[in-house]
Amino acid sequence: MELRVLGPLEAFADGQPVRVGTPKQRALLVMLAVNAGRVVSVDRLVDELWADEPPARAIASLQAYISRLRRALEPARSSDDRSALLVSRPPGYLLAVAPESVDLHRFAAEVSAGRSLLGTDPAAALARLVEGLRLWRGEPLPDLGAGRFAQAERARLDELRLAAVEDRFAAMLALGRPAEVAAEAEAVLAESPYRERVWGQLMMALHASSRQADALAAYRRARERLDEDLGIEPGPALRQLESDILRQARHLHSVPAVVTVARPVEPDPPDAAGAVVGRAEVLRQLDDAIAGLAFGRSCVLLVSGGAGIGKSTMLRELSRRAAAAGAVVAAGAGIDGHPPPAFWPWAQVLRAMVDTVDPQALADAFAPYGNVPAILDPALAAVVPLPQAEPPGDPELARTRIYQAVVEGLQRFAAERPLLVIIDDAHWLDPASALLLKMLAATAARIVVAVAYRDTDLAADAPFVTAREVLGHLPTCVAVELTGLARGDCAVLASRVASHELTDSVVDVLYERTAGNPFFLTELTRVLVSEHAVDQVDRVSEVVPARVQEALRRRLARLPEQLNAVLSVAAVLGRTFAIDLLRKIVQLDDQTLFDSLDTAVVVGILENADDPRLLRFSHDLLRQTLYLDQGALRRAQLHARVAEALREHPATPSTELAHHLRQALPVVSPQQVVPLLVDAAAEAYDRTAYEQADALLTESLQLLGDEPAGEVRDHLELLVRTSLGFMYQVVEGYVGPHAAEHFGRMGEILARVRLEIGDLPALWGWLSFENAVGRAEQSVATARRLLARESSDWAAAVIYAHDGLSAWNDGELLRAREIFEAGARVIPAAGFPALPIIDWPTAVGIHAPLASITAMLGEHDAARRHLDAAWGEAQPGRRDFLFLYLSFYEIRLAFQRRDAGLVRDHARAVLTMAEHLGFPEYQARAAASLGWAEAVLGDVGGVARVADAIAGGCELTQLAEFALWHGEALLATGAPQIALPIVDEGLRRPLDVRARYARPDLHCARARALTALGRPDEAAAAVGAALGEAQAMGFRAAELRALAAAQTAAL
Amino acid sequence: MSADVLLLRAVPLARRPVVARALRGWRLLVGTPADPGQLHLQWWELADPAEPPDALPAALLATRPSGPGTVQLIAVCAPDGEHAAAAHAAAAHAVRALIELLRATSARKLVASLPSAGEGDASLLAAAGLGRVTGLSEIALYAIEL
Repeated sequence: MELRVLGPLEAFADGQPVRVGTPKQRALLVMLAVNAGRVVSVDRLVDELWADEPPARAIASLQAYISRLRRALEPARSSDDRSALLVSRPPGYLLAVAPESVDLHRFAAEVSAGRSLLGTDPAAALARLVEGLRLWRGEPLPDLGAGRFAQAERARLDELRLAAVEDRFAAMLALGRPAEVAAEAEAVLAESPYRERVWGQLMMALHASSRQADALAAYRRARERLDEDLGIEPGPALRQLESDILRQARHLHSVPAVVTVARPVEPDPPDAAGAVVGRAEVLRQLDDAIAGLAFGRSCVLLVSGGAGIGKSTMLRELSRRAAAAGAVVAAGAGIDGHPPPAFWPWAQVLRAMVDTVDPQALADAFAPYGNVPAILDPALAAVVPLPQAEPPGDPELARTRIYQAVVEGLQRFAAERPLLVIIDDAHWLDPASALLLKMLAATAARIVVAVAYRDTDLAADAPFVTAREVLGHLPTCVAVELTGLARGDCAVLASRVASHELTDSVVDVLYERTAGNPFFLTELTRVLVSEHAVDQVDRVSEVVPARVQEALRRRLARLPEQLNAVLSVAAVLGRTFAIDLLRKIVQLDDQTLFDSLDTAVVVGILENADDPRLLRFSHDLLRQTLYLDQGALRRAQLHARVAEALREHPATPSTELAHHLRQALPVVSPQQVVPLLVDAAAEAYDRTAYEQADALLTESLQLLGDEPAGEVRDHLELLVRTSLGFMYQVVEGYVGPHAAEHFGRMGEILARVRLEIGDLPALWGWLSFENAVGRAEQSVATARRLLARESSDWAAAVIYAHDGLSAWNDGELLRAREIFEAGARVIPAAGFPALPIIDWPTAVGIHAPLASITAMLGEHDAARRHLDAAWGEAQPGRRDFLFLYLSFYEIRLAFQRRDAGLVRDHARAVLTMAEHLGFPEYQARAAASLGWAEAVLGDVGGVARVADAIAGGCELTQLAEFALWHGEALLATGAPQIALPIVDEGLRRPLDVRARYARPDLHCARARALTALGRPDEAAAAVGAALGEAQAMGFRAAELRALAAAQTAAL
Repeated sequence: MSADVLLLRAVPLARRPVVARALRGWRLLVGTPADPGQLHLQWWELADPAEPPDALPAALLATRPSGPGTVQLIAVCAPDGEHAAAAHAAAAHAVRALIELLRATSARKLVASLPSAGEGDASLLAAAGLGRVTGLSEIALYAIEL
């Protein structure tokens, strides 16, 4: 890219000319080219190019032209690609080209290089200067119009060009080419007759051409021109030259020496520690300014930043430090009035001085200017000995007199004592005050003028804009742009406001929400302190102080209407949002949306996220202000629209969808929300966030509680309670109190509802629970009655599964096998809803018990087949609990074969996963079976593991089973005397549920213990009991073990 | 419907029936009656994105290309009835937003015509920055350089 602005704008890409477009676009590109490689703020661009338009419309226009320019300059770029050439970078735009791509900068570089070579290599210097000057094709920057920047920049460039011409003449003179200089200098003087250096070069050239009389005549012409036009005499250098020519001075042929000016050594800055939090570098700049006063130096401090960023705090700190250093401090501030009162801040300044110093000192300083201070503030007349008011004269003259009086009066005062003048909120200055500020700053001596303004609230047509431009170019100006505090500083400030140290998590949220803005941070902390909620992270995330909202609204009001509308939708999406989702809701075309969002980024409302598909509000308070200002109904409507859009994305997390639907509740029904909340709970469950899952499901119940009673509510309540029941069975145990509560309530609902296939998981869960607590028979009977009109295979499968469980619990293994096999035959390939939250394929609930039952019947091959079938159902998806469940069935199968190695392997896997997922029941079972296996394999430590598992808590219904593991482990490690009472305790347990199946093996274990203890008769009786009970239940595997025990006892 | 939440957006073909429904009984503030079925017209709606997809917009505009770099504003319509002031404000908002949108395109000029003096709402065009083009008598032509 090559850009030429030293003449009408020309742009070239790859050597080919580019059509830049309308005059406004050309002006915009020139502005950016002049500042190539540097960000030009939106405010500055608007000020220069759209000063006559209201801010919101001006920003919209700028946005449009930036978009057009991008298309013109990068035609191959798609709307999805970020521009690499015309880059959006807060607070404005940057033309990302090397400075040498712009002729203006190339010119400046050539001139600078040429000038630096003048003293040593005039030929090389001349070449560089000629090269630079050749770049000029006409009047510079004609496309920029007549704005302030354009005028100033043109003047600067003209000056630079003339200086380059003068340097070129100097090089030519040094190279002995006076005749050419003499000819060309006349042409330059015709254009610029007051350039004394050129007059001097003309005289030198004529003198060197042996035209001394002409040289002296040239001097006379110069003197006449200056005198007639300007009323001044030639400067000392030109006069000296005339004198030198007259006296034929020798040095006329020598090269002038280079003068260097040494900078005075400044004292070290004082310690910057103080009440201000952070800002070490800014404080150092303030101290520099104050220290300079002692040396008689003036300084203009321009402090900028958004509302609440800490400008006023910095000014207060500056006041404190300046006063401590002996300076008089006088402060005023612009006010937000329509129109603001003229000279108001300056009246404040004078009043502040009277409050600080002897009024006579002020009277002395303003003595030559009559009663001007009293014109600014009549109250001053009462305290300052001022002359009587004079009769009013010409208004313009009177105003000029005020300007002069204030500027010179303050200067006179500062001549006696160093002075700090502070103007806060300068973005609201009235025109007269802004002009006065400009005048004082430009002429100040021994005065520090500190000015603070909100760059975010500075209207393009604000009077301060011109003043800022002038102040910014003063050599004494120090510009300080305040940004958010660092996190560590936020912690200090918030803790100070709260009067105690805040936790890291609270500080994190405060920092995140306020982006380090001290005002927001302080206000937010204060509100939280007043609510005694400063340590509650949730509350910290919710509050938006009213004063903060007011400040943010002002900022938003300056944006284009269309952008505000887009942002109000984005605010509903969240602090970080997907651009694509926003597009779906606002339904703007890509380019329009991109332009709007780009503007929001440039003005600092949004910022880019790490992921280019996302954008983020610069701080959450801004988003919340936009959000809250929309009103509850519209927010709900938008949340509903967001939820609709999210539903089209299968990958959308249910938690996000549920969040939006929940917020949409005023316009959507609980019937729409509850299933989503249940899905979200399932996602939370998958992440083992059980508390969150419980909260979502409990919220669902509350929502349903507000709904009228009826079938719809019943079906949804069944869904929610089934989820809660299953979840608590997993995390608390199969018959824990929460599971009991929810399955109990489900029994009532099932009794009255007209069952649909969607209710079958609820029926399944309820039946399983009833089975587990020993009410299998009644519950199955109830289920048969409820399903009397339901003839589907799935309904039959539910009955078979739980009828089978009932038979299994009752010790009827053969009947249980028969029922489960019947159930397995009717299971359809698909169509049964998975059990909610645990996402469990129902067929597993038939195949797995059948595997265990056949193993107990000694049919180990069939057992393997059924368990493999269950695993086959379990393969799709990620179902951790199912893996645990089936792995535990693997333990059962291996245990029936007393395969300790296999039990150990499966138990280890189950234990690891149960610990990871936090399932206590499976931890206890896996630990006990692992301990048993270890003991059987010769590790005595296994016994302790079993004991620990029992002590850690196992359900009473499982105690017999645990006693069996414990007893057999003790026997395997040679401790029959300890095993015996434990086994006896297991046998004393009531015959509830499946505890009965431990009994034959407990009898066998007892027999082994008694044999080892030398009590054969009792051992034989125990074996007999084992055989009898195993045969009664058809428990063939146990029967075989009893027979083996009988043989051992007989031996 | 609060004005600061309204967006001007191009109406996709699928929503043309909504346009047709809206136009029945609406008031034509500027231009000539336009048929939503005409594919060469670009329809624009000033709408609240929070509203459901079948909700009526706050104002409707129809444009069409008219020569190189020129876009013609064919129609400006808003609901008729009791809230005439609000409808007028919405229409003015829509025209302003249209100008802003067009500025980001290759369009260089937006023109609109009123059939004859006294018909149509010239103030609406003037408020949006469109100036009267002099020299024509039968038709009042308004234009703005983008």
